[in-house]
Amino acid sequence: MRAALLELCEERGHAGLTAAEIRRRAGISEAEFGALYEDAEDAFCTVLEAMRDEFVAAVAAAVAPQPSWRAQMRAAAYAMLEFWVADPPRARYMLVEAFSAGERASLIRDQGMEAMIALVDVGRRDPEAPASLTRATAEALAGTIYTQMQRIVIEERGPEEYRQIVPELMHTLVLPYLGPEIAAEELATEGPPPPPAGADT
Amino acid sequence: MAEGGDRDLGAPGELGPLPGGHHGLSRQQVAESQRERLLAAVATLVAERGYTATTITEIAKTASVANRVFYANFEDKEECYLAAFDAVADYLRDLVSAAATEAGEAWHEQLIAAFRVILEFFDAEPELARLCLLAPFAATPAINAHFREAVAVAIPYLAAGRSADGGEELPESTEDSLLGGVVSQLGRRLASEEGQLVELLPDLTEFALAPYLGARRARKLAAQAAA
Repeated sequence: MRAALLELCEERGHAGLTAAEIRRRAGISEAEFGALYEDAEDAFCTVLEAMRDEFVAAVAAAVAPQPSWRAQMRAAAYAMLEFWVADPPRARYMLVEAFSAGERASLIRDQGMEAMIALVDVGRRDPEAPASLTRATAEALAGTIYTQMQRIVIEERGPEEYRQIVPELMHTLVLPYLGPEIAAEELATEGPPPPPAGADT
Repeated sequence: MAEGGDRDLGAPGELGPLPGGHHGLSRQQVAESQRERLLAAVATLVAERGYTATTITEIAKTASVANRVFYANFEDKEECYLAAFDAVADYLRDLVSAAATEAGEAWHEQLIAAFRVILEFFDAEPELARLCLLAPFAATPAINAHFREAVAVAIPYLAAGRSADGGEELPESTEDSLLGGVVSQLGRRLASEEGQLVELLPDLTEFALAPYLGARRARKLAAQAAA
């Protein structure tokens, strides 16, 4: 089902996609489809939900061993990019198709965004972070991340170009919390942080 | 794609239906009124139930016109939506331009004035806020692309801050990133239906000014904006 939806979305976009088209591509009967999904939108959103969970899990796994918020952010940024690079049709599904697939898809995306916000908002605990910052900064920055990710998928940039955007993204992310000097360091830093000594690899 | 820029939606508060009966209006005035009502109707319905669930028949009914009048004005729902979106965007652009002129010479004053007038406008027009800030993320690929283009219009105005201290060294994607963040935050606040958008003014001010003016100055200006 997932492969069928990815193929169809890549070929003709999700707009106007019917249950019959999905069934035909997946090679399943009407009864089989009906037992799993209410309609085409339900199928689209169920697959989207599974992908969102994979995305959140991939980012969480990259972040977990890192000792500082700054290292966590860089690990998260590269984990996100590797997630998109590993499966371009999935990236398109999540970052392009899902942005024009109705209210339920919008809600699923928002839940993924919540996880990103929580991750970014940890930056406020850093002793260097200004006390005036609120959760709103993390909300805006999570939107920034989505905007940049969406852009590179829409512009169909290659993996290397994907990776080049991370230092700029990191600059934007750490600037409000850690200031311009650390942000400038991030702009000049390439690659994910190494796993800490003793961490499982 | 709809060419909404040369068609006047009128101030959003003026989007009322044409009075019934013999009104003595010319054919052209009636046509203009019908179009305005269709634009108002799509805004109301999309705000209420979302883009996908809104139908052309409902738009026509809400506008008190026949379906054929809808098709005389627009090819489809997408074109009608885009015309309404463009009309709001044009209106907002004029509003921002006037507010920025009034704010004075300084770039940051103009930017804060622009934020303020946008937030106050959308607080006063919640239907149009949903039409412009929420619907584009759950509509069609063309609408989503159109929305991104409309937001990108603000990039040069924000980039004017690069002449400030430190601003020149910012990465190329800074303005795109900041605008993406601002728009996303407005959408989230709107979707949560908690509080007014204008309450975000200090946060948005600090977020958008800090890369150009430094955190301390941005914070000070944000506090002033809140006062």
